[in-house]
Amino acid sequence: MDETDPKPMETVGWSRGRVIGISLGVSLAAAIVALLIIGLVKPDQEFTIDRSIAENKAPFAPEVTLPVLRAGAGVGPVGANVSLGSLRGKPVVVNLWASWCPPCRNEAPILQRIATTYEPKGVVVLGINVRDLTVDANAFIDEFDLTFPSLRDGSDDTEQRFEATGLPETFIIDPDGKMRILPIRGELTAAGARDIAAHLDEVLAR
Amino acid sequence: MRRLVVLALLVSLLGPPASALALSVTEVAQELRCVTCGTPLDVSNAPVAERMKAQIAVRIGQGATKDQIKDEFVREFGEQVLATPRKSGFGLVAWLLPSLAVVAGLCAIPFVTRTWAKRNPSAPVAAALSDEDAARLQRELDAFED
Repeated sequence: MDETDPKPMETVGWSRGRVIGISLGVSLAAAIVALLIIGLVKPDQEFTIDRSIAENKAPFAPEVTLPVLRAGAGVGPVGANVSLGSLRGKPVVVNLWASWCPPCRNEAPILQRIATTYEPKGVVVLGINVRDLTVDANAFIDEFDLTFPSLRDGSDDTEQRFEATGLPETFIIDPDGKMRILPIRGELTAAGARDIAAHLDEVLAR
Repeated sequence: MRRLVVLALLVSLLGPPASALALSVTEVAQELRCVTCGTPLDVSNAPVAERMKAQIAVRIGQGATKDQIKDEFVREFGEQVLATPRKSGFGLVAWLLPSLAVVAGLCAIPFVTRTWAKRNPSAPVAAALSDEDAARLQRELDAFED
């Protein structure tokens, strides 16, 4: 006598919805793992500006528009928004700085010497004060008797655009808005100042 | 008169001391972030954080309120200087989104459980016995009782 359940065994299979759900889950997990691997393998910072300059591609300087912290060299008045693009036609030495950064204090006299020498020749030395208290930034400018203009960015947006990893950093922008010599990422030394002077002399001689 | 004196004494004992009413640097700093390291300003000892705290002390000394000081820092550094997003404007999204996610999750429970129930139906109820089987069962039960 047959004692088994007369009902046929229910076939064990995955429904279409379940297959789609599992596929999506696995894809999502794979994507997360891939992102983690890319994050581990990729270097922390990619200097596209430096790489382009090194490959003689002369990239355009990042475009930023910021309020004037200290006027000078035709940049002003204080509080007015000024864009880097508006300075086309002149060589521009852009220096990112903050009053709380010790190397910025060391290089301030060097930058001022560049400004004193080259501003009469049509060069604009332009400070961009970042993530600093306005009152401290102004006190810094007064302490070092800086005559060149400075813009101000309370956020880190300008640093990101210039791919800055710290402060100070100095960029040389040619009259056509392009950068042809590597930025000085760190304190500007006398040797760095000589390189900048040599490039400015070359640009001004054209 | 005596009652009034006792009442005044009680009120002075229950109320906070005058120093506790004054705005402290920490009270303002814990609602702001250090602009270089991103940590809460009250625990950060980065150079700029120390200067920010000093500026808070100056403004407290000048009689500024916490909201005034926070607004001044926002004007200086942008909204990212706040430790938590504002409960207004776009910042409100950060406060509402988690709550909305929880509500959405709770609303989804009935639909999900219904789907699960459909996917795993309970064991089928045994079909009713046919007349033949019922008769056979009865015969066997009678035999068993005997």
